[in-house]
Amino acid sequence: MKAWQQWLGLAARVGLGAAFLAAGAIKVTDLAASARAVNAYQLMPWEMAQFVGVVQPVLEIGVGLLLLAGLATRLAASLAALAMVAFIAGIASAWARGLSIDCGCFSRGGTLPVGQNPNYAWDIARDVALLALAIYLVVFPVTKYSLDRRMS
Amino acid sequence: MSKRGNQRMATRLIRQQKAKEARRNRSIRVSAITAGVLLLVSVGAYAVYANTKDTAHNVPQSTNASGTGIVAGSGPIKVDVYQDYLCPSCRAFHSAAQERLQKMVQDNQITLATFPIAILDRLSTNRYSTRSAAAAGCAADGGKFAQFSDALYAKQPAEGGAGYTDAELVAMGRSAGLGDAFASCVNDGTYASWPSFATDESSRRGVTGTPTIFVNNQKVTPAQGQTITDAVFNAIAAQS
Repeated sequence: MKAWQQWLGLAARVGLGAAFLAAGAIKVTDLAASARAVNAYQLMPWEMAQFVGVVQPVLEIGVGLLLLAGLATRLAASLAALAMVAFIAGIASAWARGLSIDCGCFSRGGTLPVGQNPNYAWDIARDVALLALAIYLVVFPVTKYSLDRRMS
Repeated sequence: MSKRGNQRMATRLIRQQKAKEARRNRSIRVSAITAGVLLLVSVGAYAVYANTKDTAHNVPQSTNASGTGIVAGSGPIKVDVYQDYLCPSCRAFHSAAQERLQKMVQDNQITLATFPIAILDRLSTNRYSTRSAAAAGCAADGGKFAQFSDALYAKQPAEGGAGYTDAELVAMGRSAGLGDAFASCVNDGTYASWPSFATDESSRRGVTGTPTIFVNNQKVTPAQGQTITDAVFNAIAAQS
């Protein structure tokens, strides 16, 4: 592995980690709202939406912290990649069904007021970029300044 | 290469191999422990969430069977309005539709159920959505739900700041004709946990924003460029 790749890996780790930490932190202070954001996708019954809505921000914070610390990087990046695939699929399905919702990505989500249009293309583009970072880290998990490296 | 040299190289290879294996094992162990911790924390978070939810709540008078909405009239067409007193679109719908809806109630055309839910607590500094909905429950007990709703919407606070305090809500109730019973109901927080119950039940029904209106159990979705008010009255007209 070349040295610059480990620096690139560090950048990917910090970028992706910060995004996950921020997304989770915004939602974790109001878990009921997070559950409603999941419910707005109308993909699952309310009971399950509550479970997902509560667990998702907690996991986002966990994955974010792991990535920032560089601990279990490959596992954390794999979880992040799975999450991004699920988010992209969710947004695409909301788009396809003509729902008018806030994606609840970095906010608390829900139906948009009448007259306000969703911006699904931008949401998906951002998630594809984050997915690329996650895949890069799954393939090259060895990065600069990581706990993984200090322990080995 | 000499025999000894071969041996030395073999030893080194074996040592390297062992070190590599040890690294791999450690990395697998770290990942397994991390995955376990993530799983525990998630399940723990859900357990805390499920256990800290208010389960006990009082239900105001003149509510529907499930105790979530305030009912007016007994006409054949059911109109269910889900609203948050802080939501500007709800205010717009209220001022555009309320008079005609109340007339239809009086003419015994519709049964109007209004569900004060609280989905915008984050947009006020003092949980105005929940507290105003709880106060509306108190107003229903005093038989002045519609008048109190009119008063709340007439002076709707802006999103992002402080909503009215309980004392201010009491004052607004008094000017809408409510008395001491209303004041103590608001001050005692009689219906403080009712809005979150009504909100959860609305989520179960597929309400994901406000205002959401059902006509005879059909969710009203405005067509492109149509206002929600027009869509609602079209839906009512289609039923009568």
